[in-house]
Amino acid sequence: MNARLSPNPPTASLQLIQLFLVNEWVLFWRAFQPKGSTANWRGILSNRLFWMAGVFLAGHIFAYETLKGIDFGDALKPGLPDSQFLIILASLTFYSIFVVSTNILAITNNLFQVNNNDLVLTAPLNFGIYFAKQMISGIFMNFVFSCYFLLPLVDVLMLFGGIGYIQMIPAALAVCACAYLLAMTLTLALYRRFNMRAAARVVRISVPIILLLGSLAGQTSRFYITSLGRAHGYDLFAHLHRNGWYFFPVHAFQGSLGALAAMLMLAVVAFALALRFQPDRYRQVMLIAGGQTFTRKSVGQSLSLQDFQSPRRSVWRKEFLTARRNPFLMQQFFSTLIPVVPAFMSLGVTLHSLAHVNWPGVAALLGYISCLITGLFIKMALLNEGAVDLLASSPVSEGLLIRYKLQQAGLLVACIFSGPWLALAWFSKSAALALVVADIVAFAALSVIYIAYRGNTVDMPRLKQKRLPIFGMLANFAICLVAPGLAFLLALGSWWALLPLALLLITLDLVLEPELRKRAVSKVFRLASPA
Amino acid sequence: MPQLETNALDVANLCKAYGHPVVDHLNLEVRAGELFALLGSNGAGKTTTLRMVAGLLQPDAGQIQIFGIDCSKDPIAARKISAWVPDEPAIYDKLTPQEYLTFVAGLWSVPQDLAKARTEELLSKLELSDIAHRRCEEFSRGMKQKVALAGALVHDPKLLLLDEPLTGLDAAMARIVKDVLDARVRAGATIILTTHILEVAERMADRIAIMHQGRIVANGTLGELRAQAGNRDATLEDLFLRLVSTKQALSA
Repeated sequence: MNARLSPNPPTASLQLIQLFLVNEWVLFWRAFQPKGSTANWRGILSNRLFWMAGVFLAGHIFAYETLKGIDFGDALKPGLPDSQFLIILASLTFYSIFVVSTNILAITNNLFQVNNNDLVLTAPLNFGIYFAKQMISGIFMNFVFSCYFLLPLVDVLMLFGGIGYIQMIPAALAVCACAYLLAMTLTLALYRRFNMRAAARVVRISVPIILLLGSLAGQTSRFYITSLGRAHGYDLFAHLHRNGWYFFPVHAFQGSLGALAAMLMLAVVAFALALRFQPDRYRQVMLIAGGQTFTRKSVGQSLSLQDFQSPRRSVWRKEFLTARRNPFLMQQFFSTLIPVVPAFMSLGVTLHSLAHVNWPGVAALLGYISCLITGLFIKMALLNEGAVDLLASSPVSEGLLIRYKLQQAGLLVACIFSGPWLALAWFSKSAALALVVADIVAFAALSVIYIAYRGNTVDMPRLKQKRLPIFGMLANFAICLVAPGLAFLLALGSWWALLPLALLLITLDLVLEPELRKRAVSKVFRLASPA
Repeated sequence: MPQLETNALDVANLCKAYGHPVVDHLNLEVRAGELFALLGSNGAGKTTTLRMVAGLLQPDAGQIQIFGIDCSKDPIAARKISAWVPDEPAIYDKLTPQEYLTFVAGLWSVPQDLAKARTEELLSKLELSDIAHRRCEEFSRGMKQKVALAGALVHDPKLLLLDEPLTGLDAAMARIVKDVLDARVRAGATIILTTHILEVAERMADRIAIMHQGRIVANGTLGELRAQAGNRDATLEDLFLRLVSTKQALSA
C-alpha cells in the first residue's frame, strides 16, 4: 500500500483525473498544430475555432450541395421516401460514420503516442487512474470529432424539413462511444502486461469487437426506428441492401455478417500497416508494458550522394524522407485522405444514374476532393519543415524552395486526379475546365499562405520563431473554406464567379497577413521582453 | 593584394527594433581569417545581429557586407560563402547525420566527389562516424550540435557564424569542437561566435567585441581591452563585468 499515493482515495483520484483531463486536452490540441507552435491557450483555442469553423462551413455546404442536386420529389413528405434521396442520405451517413470511425483509430494512436510522456509514465499512479484519464479524454474527443462531421448533416437534413432519419445520428454516436470504450479497455489493459507482439494481437482482437458492437448498435437503431412507427425506415434499409457495393459499411451497421467481414478485413489491414510502418508510435506504450522498450533501428542505407546532387533534388528527397519517417505526418496524410474516399463514393452515387447527373455537383465534389489533397500537401510542407534557419541561410531563394515543394505536391495531385479529371472531361468539358481553375485557385491561395508563413517564421525574433500559430490557423481555415466556396460557386453554375473568389482569397491574405504579423510580433516581443 | 584587404564582415549603422531598439546603429568590422567573439549579457542583441548577418532577419536600417558582397543586394551570393549555426541545432530529426550532410551539400551545390570526401572527413573529425547512419532524433543535444556544425562546414564556408556553439557540450565534445574551429581558422576561414563562456573567448578569439543594449561598447584584442580598462592583469570576466555595469549605471 502506498499511503502517499492516496491519502484520501476518492478525492485524490478525482483530482488526478481532472488534472489529467485538462492535460490531455492541451497536449492533444497542441499535437495538431504546426510543429512547435505551442504558444498559449488563446492560440490553441483560436486554432481549433478556425478549424471547426472551416469544417463546419465546409460540411454544411458539402451536404447542402449534395442534397440540392437531387430531385427529391415527394421525399420530403413523411411516408413517401424517394430512392435517390435515400441513396444520398445513406451516402452521407456512411461518410460521417467512416470519418468518425477512422478518427477513433487515429485518436487511439494519438493518445498512446502524444500523451504518455516520461513524466506520466514514471509518476506514482495506479492503473485505474491512468486508465480513467485515457478513457474520459478519449470519449470526449470522439464526441467532438463526431460533432464536427455530423452536425452539418443534421442541420442540412433539418433544413430540408422534418426528416425522420435523424434518429440514426445519436445511434452512430453511441456506436462510436461504445466501440471506443471497449477497445481502450482491452488495449490498455493488455499493453501494460505484454510486449509488442502481444499488443499487436490485442489490436487485432479489439477491431472485430468494435465492429461487432457497431453491428449490434445498428440493429438497435433499426428497432428504434421501427418502434417509432416510421414505415419508410424499412424502405431505407431495403434500398441500402439493393444499392451497390459501396454501401457495405452501412450493411455492417445493420448487422450483415458479410459486410462485417469486409470491414474487419479492411481494419485489420489498416492496423497491420500501421504497426508495420509506425512502430515508433508504440514506443511509449512499451514503457507502460514494464520497461520493454522497442526502438526501431534507423535505416541509413536508403540514400546515396546521387540523391542530393542539386538543391532541387535535395529538397525533394528530404521532403519525401522526413515525411515518410514521421508517424505524425503520415497520420495527417492518411487521416486527410480518408474523407476523400467517401467523397468519391458520393461521386459514384451522383453518377449512378447518368440520366439525372448533376454536373455542377460532380464538379463541386471533384473540386472538394482536389482541395483536400492540395491542402494536405501544403500542410505537410508546413509541418515537415524542421530546420527553417538552415534553408533560410542557404544560397537557394525562397521562391525556388517553395517552387520545389509545390512541384512535388502538384505532381502527386496530378498523378492522383488525372484519371477522374479525364473521366469528367469526357462528360463535361466545362466542368473539367472549372475543376482545373479550382485547383489553380486553391494552389495560389495556399501558396500565398505558405509564403507568408515561411517569411514570417524566418523574420521573427529568435525565441519566438516556433510560436506562430496564426498561419497554421489560416492554413486550416483555407483548406476547409476554399473547397466549399468553390463547390458552392460551381454548383450555381457561375464559372465566372471563380475569379472574384480567387481575388478575395488573395486580397484577404495580402491585407490580413501584415496586420496579423504585426500583432504576432508585438505580442511575442512583449512576452519576451524583460519587465 | 585586394583580396586580403577585404574585411570578412562590414556592418554599418545596423538597426533592428521590436517595439524598442534591439540593435542600435551598430558598426562592426571583422577581418578575414580571424576568430571573432561577440560577447554581451542576455538581450544585448548578439544573436539578433548574427541573424541579420546570416540573412534570417531583415534589418530596419544599415548595411551588411560579407567579403564585400552587399547582403541586401545579392543575398544569395552572400549565403554561398557563409554558414550559420544557431544555438538550438536546427536539423532534421528524421535524417541521419550522413543524409543531413549530403542534403546540405546539395543545397550549396557542392560537387558530388567533394561532398563525399568532406562528409567522411567531418564525420570522422567530429567523432560522428559511428552514428552516421542513425537518425538524429535519437541524439543528445550535444551530438545534434555537432551534426549541425558539420553541416555548416560541409560546403567550406569562408565565414562561419556560430551562436553559442559550445552550450550543452560536455568537456570532451567541447574540446573536439574547439579543435575543429581552430583548424578552420588556421585554414583561412573567418569565424564569428557568440558565447557566454568567457574563458573560450579569452583563449580562442583573436578579437573580442562586447555588446550592451544593441551597441558595441568595447572592441579589440584582449590586450587592447585590458589597456582600455587600465588594468593589464584583468581577466576578460573582470573587463566584461566592469564594462557592462558601467554602462548600466550610465543608462540608469
